[in-house]
Amino acid sequence: MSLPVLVLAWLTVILVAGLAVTGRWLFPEVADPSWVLMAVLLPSFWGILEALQRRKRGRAVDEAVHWYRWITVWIGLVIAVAFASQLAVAAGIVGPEWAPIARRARGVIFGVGLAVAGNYLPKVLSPWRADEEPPGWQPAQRFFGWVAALCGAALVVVWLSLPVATAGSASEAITVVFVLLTLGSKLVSTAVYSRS
Amino acid sequence: MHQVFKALSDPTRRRVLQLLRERPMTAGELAERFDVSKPTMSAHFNVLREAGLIDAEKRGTTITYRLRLSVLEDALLGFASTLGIEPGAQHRRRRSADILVDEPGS
Repeated sequence: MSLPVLVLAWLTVILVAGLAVTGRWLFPEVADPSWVLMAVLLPSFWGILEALQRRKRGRAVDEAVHWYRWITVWIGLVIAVAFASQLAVAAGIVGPEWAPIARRARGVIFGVGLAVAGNYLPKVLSPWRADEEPPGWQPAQRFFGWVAALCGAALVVVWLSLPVATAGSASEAITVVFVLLTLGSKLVSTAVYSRS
Repeated sequence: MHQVFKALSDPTRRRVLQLLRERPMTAGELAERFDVSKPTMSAHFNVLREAGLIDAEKRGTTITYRLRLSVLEDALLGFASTLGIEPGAQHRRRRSADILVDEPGS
């Protein structure tokens, strides 16, 4: 069994556990609907990647899928580690006084995860051949990478330096900025592709 | 990382990366922008490719290069370009300083 398949199996177990928590079958006090989204989105994204990989679409697509696969594994690991700290508090392995520290750790882990994924995103090749690549693709990917890396770094700084309540609000603001900039760059790049 | 630093230390290679920021380019398109022989340009492309900073795709006899810079490598490129880092620059500065000292009347 290859390493990515093993990681996928492990990730699925973690995500099913996350779903169980969200569905209030386990530890109702940590129920959080965002885990349903995570539990559904990551394996389905992986499924799409695997389906893409089965079709022979050239080296560029294969390489892109390879990078996206490992970025998915990385995001999965980040979520799992973040989830573990939450679970530890809920299971009583550590006392409730650790809840703010667990929340802070989750924020820092998400920040590091976003920064690392953002750092590598511009290295992902486009699905087009080099001589057919739309002119806006590379700048858009580079912009997205920079936004993700900087927002990730900002999350780490915020969660390490501010009080938990303030850090929570600041991280929500950073997330909104990240989503808006990402969607904006996506819209701009799509407009550029359609013109080219 | 050593290969990345080596690749970014040369001004010609940095210029190649700056040109590729605009769009993917063929080896010929890139070479005509430099006053350097083709084998030297090929050597530069190889160093960049081995460092994983560019990707080469061959179609017939044409090789097209495109950028593969991570955010960190992009920042390093900007840093090296701003400071004008080049291999042996310190050594050359020291030599030119020695020449100035040796010159009569200086």
